[in-house]
Amino acid sequence: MTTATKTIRFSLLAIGTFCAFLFSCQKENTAKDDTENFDQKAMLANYADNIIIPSFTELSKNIGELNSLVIPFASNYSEAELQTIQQKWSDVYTSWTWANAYNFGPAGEAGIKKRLVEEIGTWPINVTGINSKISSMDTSFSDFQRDTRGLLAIEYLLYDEQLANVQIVSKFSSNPNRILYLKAAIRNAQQQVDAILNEWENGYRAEFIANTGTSVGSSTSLLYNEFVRSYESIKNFKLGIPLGKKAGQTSTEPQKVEARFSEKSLEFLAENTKAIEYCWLGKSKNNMNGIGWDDYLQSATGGNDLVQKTTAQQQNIFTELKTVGTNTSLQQQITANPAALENLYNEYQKQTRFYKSDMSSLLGISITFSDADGD
Amino acid sequence: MAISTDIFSSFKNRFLGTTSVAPLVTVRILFGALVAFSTLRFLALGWAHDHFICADFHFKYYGFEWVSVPGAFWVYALHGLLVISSVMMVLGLFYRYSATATFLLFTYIQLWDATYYLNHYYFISLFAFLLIFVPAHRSFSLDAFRTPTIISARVATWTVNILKLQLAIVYIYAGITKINTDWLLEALPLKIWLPSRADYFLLGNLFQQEWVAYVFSWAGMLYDLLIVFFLLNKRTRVAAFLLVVVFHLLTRWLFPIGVFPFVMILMTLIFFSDNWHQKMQGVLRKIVLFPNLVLQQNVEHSSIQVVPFHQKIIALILVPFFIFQLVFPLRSYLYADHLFWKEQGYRFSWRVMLMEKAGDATFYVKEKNGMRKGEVFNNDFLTAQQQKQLAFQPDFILQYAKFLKHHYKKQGMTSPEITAQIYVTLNGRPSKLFVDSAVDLSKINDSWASKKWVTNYPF
Repeated sequence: MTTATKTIRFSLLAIGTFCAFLFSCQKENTAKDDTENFDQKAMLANYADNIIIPSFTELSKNIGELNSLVIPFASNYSEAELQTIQQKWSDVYTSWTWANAYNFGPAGEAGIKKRLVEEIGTWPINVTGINSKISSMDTSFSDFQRDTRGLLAIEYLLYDEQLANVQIVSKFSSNPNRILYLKAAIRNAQQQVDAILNEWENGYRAEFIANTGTSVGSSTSLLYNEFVRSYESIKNFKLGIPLGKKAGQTSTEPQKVEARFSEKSLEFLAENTKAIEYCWLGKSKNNMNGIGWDDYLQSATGGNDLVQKTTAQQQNIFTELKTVGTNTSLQQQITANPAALENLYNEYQKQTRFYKSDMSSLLGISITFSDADGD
Repeated sequence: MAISTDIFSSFKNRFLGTTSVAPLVTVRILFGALVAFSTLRFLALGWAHDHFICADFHFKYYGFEWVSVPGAFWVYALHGLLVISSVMMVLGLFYRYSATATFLLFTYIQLWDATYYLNHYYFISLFAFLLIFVPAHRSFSLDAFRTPTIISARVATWTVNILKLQLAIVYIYAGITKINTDWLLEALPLKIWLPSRADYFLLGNLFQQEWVAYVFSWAGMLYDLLIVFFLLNKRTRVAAFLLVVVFHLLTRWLFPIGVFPFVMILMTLIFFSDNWHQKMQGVLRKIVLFPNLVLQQNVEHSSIQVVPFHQKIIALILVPFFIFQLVFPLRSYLYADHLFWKEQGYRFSWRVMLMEKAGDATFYVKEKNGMRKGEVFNNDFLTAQQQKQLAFQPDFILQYAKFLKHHYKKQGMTSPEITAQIYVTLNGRPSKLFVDSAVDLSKINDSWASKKWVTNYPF
């Protein structure tokens, strides 16, 4: 018995000393330099305050303006009015390219609601579905046909790559249901974006910043995973599928480009790529460079090398984007200029591994969405 | 002469002598409870659905390709049966059958998809297998209540010692595998993992320090190598157990490793004295109002009764079992290639949290002699976890290539060739090409041979 007591006493003493040792070290470190510690909260605050909330704010503002422009148009269909609305839709979609990478928290999946990018950013849209809903005046948007609503369904109503604006105007004037469907589709997108913005501004911001760490469900992991998904969506869906790159495709499919009717796919592609780059840098749309992934990587051993490789590859992508240009639409270039697009696609592909495996590995970020045990 | 006789008789005692049944009873109750809890937790987290039901494709273990995931009903039914059989173990009801069922069900479920391989699942399978052979139901069990004639206070010593041996193998091999340059000289992967725990209470700042990663690496290695010896020694046992608790709780706190820490903490209780187990069971008996059946019997008789065994038959099973366990984890040393890179002999070898490995795998399909090379969107076929594991495990890469070939043949291609561009990063080093991008992976068959189609270790 005495030996056991002794052993217990000894082990308690040992543990106590160990703890005391840890405490003393901790103090010393905090005093000496805390620059060595990466401030994850500051990074998350930068994303929330300078990037995510402003992006949703601008998107919300633009959709609101689009909504108010439709009202005068409805009472007086004119080409000039249509053109103003088209311009505004283009602004909406541009601001969407800055907001489409944050499908978590209020913009995440919840019950039957999908991620925001699926709710308002689905394409290719279902032309037949939209037209049948227009004739039956079905604007409840409560079904699972997400390809009959969202920003690209709105695009379809406002543009036609084969018709002149005057003919689009007459489509509206000849069918009173069409404008009602347009209004309903805009309102549907507006409600979703406003609800998300509202949640960010009232509560979720604090929750997001406080939820530190890198495990499943942490803000860093959510932000990272959506960032990668958004990047891969550019490569796979905005470029890959129209180019016929997916296994099983037997030819190019230019009709599957992102903004087929306005023929502005390349502008949006470039803008989206810029938004992704800025996101990685922690840079706001108005060029304020805060703490972002690049800074986080710099704090990790071997991170500097990866930051340089990633930055170099970003430049390669922008060079190819410039070569492709925006003068000719994506769907035309797929047939006319496939080599340049092929190069662009390959440059996107080269970046994937830096974003996907190297970055998550260096930062120890959980790359799955569902939890699982490791060992 | 005297010494060798001594060793021989002590050896003989350890196996053929007798000892109290109490440690076995503790292990039976706790092990059954852990399996039941782990299975219920698995179901509650929705993993039965996520891992087995919603996936169309499953990675297999070499030699067990014939095991396939049953339909949703059977997925749940088998998990349900596992819960029942493990609870029956706790109760000691039809013990030999419930232990056998627990072993078979648990192992069968593990074979469904190698994506989810965990060393501690392997441990549970092995331990459940051993428990089939030990008379853990001869006291404090419903079997003993039903059939008092089976009650025995003493059992053959080997029945307790094989469980200790199993734990010793796990720990010591886990220690041996930590003796590698990355772990000891670079403090990798802890140097990557610990700094990401900056937000941790009290120790978050400390985890940023490089020396802490070194301390943890070396301490972990020494702990694994030596802990069993301190548990075996009566004088150091209590301190060692405290260390077991601290060590495993610390790893539980730092890493998402599920129930593994609790399995190890509770199973090491087997090293405690017979006296301790008897006392604990005395307390538990009073709580659950279970009659002390041994005392009701002729004490003197029961205390000397030794459970008879078909010792020879059991020896014929267990001796090869342990020889296998001692040899199999060492198979990796037969390969000249870098173990972490090619993973030849990585699984089933107690390599626990030994590396940070990730990859990015893009597969391509091309009709033989065709022009068009299509990129596979892995998301169409695989769960997030399968995609993650696929990117750096050579055998998975081959299985997936064969699956793709089959899939695109069904889609109408005549002779699809499957190639892949795979980049892998190991312990934070910049990712490098993992397989020969020109090779048709669907034509390669997995085997024990060195994996020539995987690039050589590039770092």
